[in-house]
Amino acid sequence: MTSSAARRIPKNSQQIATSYLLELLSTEIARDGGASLVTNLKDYTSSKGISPKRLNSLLVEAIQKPRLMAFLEAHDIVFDVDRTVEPHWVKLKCTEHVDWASLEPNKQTAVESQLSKLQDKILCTLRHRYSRMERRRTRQRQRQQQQQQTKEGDTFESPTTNVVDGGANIGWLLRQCTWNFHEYLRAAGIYLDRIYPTNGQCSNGDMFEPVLIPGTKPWEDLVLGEFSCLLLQMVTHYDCLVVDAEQTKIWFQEEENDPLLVDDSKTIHNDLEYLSLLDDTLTELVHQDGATQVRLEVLLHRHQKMKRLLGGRDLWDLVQRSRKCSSNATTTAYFERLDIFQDGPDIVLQLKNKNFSSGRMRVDNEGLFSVANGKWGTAIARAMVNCCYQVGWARKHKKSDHDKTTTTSLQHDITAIDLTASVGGMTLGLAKTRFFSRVIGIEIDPHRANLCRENMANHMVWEYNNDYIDIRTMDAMDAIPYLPRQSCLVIDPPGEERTSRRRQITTE
Amino acid sequence: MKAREDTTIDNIDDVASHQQQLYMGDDCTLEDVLCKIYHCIRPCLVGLRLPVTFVIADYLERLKLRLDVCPALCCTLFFSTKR
Repeated sequence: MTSSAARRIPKNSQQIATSYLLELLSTEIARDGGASLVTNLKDYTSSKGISPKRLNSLLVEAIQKPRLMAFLEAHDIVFDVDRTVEPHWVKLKCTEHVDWASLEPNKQTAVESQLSKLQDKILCTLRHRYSRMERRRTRQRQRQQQQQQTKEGDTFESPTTNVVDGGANIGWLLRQCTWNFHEYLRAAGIYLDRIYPTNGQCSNGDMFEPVLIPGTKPWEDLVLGEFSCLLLQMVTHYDCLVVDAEQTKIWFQEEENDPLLVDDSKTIHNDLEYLSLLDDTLTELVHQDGATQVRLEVLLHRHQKMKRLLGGRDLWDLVQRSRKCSSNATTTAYFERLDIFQDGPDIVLQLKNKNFSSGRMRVDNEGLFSVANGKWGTAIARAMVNCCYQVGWARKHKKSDHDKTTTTSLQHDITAIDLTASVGGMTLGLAKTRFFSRVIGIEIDPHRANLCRENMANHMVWEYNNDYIDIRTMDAMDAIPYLPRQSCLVIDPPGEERTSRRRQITTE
Repeated sequence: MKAREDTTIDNIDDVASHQQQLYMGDDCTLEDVLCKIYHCIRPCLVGLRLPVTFVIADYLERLKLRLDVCPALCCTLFFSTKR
């Protein structure tokens, strides 16, 4: 290949990538009515089947670097990027590259899919709110009973409850479902049809000016009417919903076939399948987690499948009712493979069969959420070992010219120190490399430090018994002056949420 | 010094301008810990596991200001693996 030909090919590919990206991005922005958040553009392209990796390679071909913002700013005739707002906002200045044919909402399945997601989100939000209100009512009832008992001694009369559900505000509900509703409006072409109707008809550059940022108050005011209409349509399909359009309120009512709300004396015929599925999924996910226990909040955060399945229902209430039913021996027992208990505001799911030999780690109530799992523990430990080679603290030795495999012999004295050992996820990874002369774990919390010792004793028996691994219960700041020099330190600082939560618990 | 950064952040300049801080205890920040490590047990290798949104370049700049020297021997390895 000649040098001129070699230069020509990249130029062509650059042009192709640029025109493809211009059309793709312009069309997706036009679908929003003419302006989009830059962060959303990546999601839009993903939904079109272009993975983030593919998008990056296209950007590299077009502008030699994987920066979407740089691409948008490089084409300032087409895009107007506003960096003054956070997150950044891009407006379409020219419609030359928009593929209008693809903007027609002809793919009914896509619209139905988005509508279904939106309806699920609405039901989930309202059901969640209903469960919260129920818990509040129960607490108030208990408080009233206690007050009544203290006043009247043994003569107790059932008090009347005065907690009234005034319904959820539709505006509040819209805020909870902002992005699902936005996706639905995009897919159904409602932005171009009804919300920004002039945008699709004009052809000059100023047509996209009135587009608003989703989630902001002006945007909510603009789309609230559409949202109310949708809720009114939903009411005809779902008996559990009641809407008062005048007062902009919505209520969630008791579903007859909802296992939460069925009277104890009745059998739960219609939802046995649901309970069975929930029980199986819950047990499977806790097993998959790799630890002995996990908080429900963490499990829901990590597994969208579980979140969708629970759909805002109160798991604790479900478990209580299931236990009551099973004690009456009228129905099959559910949630029997797990110990489910309350720990303050948290619900903790614990395995009944704690088999440590299968590589399971003992953890506190946060589960493996705050712990480096085996994969990351090993990866980080390997990275540290490689770094030791890079700075020349250790050297690889070849056995001979014939045997080209490299071996590592402990001709160095490097100590690995995990300053935030917790229950030992990363400490275990460091110890398993067998590269370091010693591994020290430091944990401030005595309970976690003990769990860490148990995990080390379970997983690295010989090393733990021979003082290869040393777990110290102390503050990392106090420990630092006494640590050996020329060592490898690993720090996994707790996030702001965890720190604030711990502070709150300490204060309480 | 080997610093691995998240290359997917577009608005890196704006994110960098925000004050980002991680706490190790009640009042002790990660910066305090790194400074103490630097003064007490250097040379050493420090691997940090940080959130993916954490802008390492900005953090190192601030660290340099506190330590008056380039913390190359102290802060050698950064991971950005947390969600």
